[in-house]
Amino acid sequence: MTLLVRVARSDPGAPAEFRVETFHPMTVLDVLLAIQREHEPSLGFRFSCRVAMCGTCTIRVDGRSALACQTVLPEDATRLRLDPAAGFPVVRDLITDTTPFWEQWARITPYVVPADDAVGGEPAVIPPDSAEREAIDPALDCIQCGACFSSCGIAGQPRTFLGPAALNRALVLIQDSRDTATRERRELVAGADGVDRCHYIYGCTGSCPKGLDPARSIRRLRKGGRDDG
Amino acid sequence: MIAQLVFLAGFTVVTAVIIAFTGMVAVGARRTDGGTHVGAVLRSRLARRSYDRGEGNRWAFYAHRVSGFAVFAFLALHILDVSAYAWSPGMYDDVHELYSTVPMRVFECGLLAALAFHALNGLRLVAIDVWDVGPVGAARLLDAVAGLTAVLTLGGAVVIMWPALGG
Repeated sequence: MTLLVRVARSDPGAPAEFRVETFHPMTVLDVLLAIQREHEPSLGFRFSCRVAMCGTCTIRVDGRSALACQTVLPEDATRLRLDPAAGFPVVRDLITDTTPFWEQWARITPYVVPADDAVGGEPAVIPPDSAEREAIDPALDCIQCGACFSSCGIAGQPRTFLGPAALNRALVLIQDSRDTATRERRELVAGADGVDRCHYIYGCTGSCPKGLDPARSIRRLRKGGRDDG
Repeated sequence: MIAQLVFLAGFTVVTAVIIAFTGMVAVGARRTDGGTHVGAVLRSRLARRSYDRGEGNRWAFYAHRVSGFAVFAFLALHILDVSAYAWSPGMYDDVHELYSTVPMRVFECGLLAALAFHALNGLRLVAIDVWDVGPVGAARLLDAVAGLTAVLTLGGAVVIMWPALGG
């Protein structure tokens, strides 16, 4: 079967429509590689791991943010539209500058800040069946692909909303008993760029390639962060 | 007559501002999340079912902003035209004669739709926050909001248009 693919190009004069022979299962990344190999070697897009681990290949597939390597074409697909991830400046074709995402990510101090006396001591033990671990688990596993950020109607330049990924990470760290930066994070998520900017569009939850629910994390943060909300 | 012209000028300005605001929301949407595709792409996005109906929540967000602004802008004008009574009851009557014309009645139907949607969608957002209904639940609530808005608008439209239709 032949697939008609329309790709957003930076150069208005560059070819943007391609016909690709499909096979199954075929991912969107396979489609992009076929276009690059058979039609347009200069087509710009990013990818790395090919197995939905690195979060590099985020683009919009038929208007929806997704990982190109993880998105499998429906068997009856005849048309496909590919755009760069929204909310980011476009570098070229499907390549975006994800700086706005990382700026917000960095603001929440996205790592555990241990107590001074914990350094050099015994590793903390958090049993898998503990309440703390069970509260953290549903929000873990973010690969920082930016799909949620791109799919959010609020996050992205020129706005300064922290965004779903950063808030989801903040929830994880606020739950973590080893962390000592909880107060600073609570102030940030309760501030002008925090949880109250969310309008429950659910673009983040709908687009997360790891199946996380950042909208629920935001709601839990609104309720204080420690309980299960 | 002059009072009516002044009102119509104000009404025109308010309408233009509402249209401009809608354009701003659309431009912002396209930049921030790639929304507001039109034509076939819009239809295909809105046609998504089940879990993908999170897309409806996105459109509800934009409609909420536009309807809220439209109601606010008209309310500001309405406060001014009602305050005409303080200057002259005759002027007040002149201006409010316009409200009984067919075009204004049609506009009032649109205003009722905007008001009903904004109020009901606001309650939906409160419900989402209080009960954590999730994306699918939020989409189902949006169906209810759309249905109730349609019923309220149609019912209200009958009442609003009835005198103009000779009822």
